[in-house]
Amino acid sequence: MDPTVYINQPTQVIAVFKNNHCYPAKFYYKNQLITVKEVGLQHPTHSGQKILYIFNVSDGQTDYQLEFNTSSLSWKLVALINV
Amino acid sequence: MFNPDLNHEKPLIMHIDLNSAFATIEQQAHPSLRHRPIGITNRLSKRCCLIALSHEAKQQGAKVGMNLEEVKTIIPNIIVLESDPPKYHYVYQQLMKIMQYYSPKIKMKSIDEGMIDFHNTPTSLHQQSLTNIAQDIKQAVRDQIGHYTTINIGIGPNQFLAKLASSLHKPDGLDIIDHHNLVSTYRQLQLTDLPGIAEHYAARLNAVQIYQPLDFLQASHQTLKNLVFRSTIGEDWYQRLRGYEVDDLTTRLGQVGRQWVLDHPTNQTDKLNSYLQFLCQTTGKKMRYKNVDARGVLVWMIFTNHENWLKRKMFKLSFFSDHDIYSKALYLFNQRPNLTIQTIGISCYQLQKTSRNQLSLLDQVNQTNDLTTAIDDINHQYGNFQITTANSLEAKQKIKQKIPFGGTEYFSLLLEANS
Repeated sequence: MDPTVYINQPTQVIAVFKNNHCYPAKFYYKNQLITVKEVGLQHPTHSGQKILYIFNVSDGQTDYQLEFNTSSLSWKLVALINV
Repeated sequence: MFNPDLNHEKPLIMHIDLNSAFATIEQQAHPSLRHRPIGITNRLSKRCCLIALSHEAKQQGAKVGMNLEEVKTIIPNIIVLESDPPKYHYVYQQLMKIMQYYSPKIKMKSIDEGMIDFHNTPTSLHQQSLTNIAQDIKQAVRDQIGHYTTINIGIGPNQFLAKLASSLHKPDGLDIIDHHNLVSTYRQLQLTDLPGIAEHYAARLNAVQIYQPLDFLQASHQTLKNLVFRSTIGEDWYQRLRGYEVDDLTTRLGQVGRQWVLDHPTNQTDKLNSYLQFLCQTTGKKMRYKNVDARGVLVWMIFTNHENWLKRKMFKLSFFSDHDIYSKALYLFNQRPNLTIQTIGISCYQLQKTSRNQLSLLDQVNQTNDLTTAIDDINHQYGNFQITTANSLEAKQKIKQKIPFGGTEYFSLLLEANS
């Protein structure tokens, strides 16, 4: 019913700057290098005063949610959706 | 011959409505959910209520407000997600920025709809037709939010007709209603298609032989005022239907509160006290966010046998702290009948501008103010309810801040609460 699978693990990301914005281009999940084909929606959110950027991305088959922590400059794979 | 005395003013009000907002935003974020029936709920459970449905789910017969069991009998393969307020807040802000580019006078009516008033906007804007501006706005939404996101736009001489126009061709519609096509538009609609006319009002209108929007338009203002609505609301409807503006009002904050439907109904005092205290804390936060103090407290509940209970009390002195709200609410709460509670709610009323900036002669009042400010500051810095009472810890685990229907006045506070 809800196809979201929560991962909540740090990940390595290759990011690119395009049109003055930063986007994740590739990242690792289970030792596989996933290539981002589409950024569906990216938006900021807060944890107290810390700003986190959420990137909802797709490799064409599965949707992933990546989180960039602007305080620690670290990436986390939050969840995936596989319908 | 019937002369409806329509407003002949150029239509300068634009109503913008994000199609199936929360569901579309999820489909924008997750490409694998596009073109599929999906629903959004605040808390996923067997009988949870769906607060938004994708266009595809609506096409298959599901309706917003149905519970999941009902929807699954119609669409067994429906995908259901829990609501994600930060995502919707981002889209809300983007939509607001796009609208503000065109006029300083915009009003967000809810999380997914807003209105632009083009009266008194620069003449350079008027040189374009509002239809062209509407197309620009649709493109801006696709560019800045995402290509899957569509909006309905309606243009009219007043807010009512603009909203009605926006509902004529969903999704991605663009319609204008003015004095030229108002009568022909009404001719194609049912009473309940009109914004603000639900079944209850439709029944009242039917009782005086008003069955169609055109009958409604032809009714005299005496009929509407004295027989149908039995108040000045009838006069407002007489003007509204003709395209005159009667809805450009700023409403006064009357009460602030919070309610919760218990996932497991109970009459255990320790659990209920925890829930009550948590509801009082969220109410206090809302009051301080709005810079108001209250003088009245109301506690209400619905029991599992469907009976209601309500108790209210006014106090001589105004109050603002979580502790004061809780102690007053608890006094009322302890007078409840000993029945199993399904829904519990608390409201503070008789609101007035806060006097917290004024130092008091009484030390205790100043100490309460300082302590409340310190707790609010810490919670603002590290996320809401990082500092809270031990009694409300159980409720904190269970009661999540979720997306409300209607207004957006507490949206920023809601996001803090979720952090």
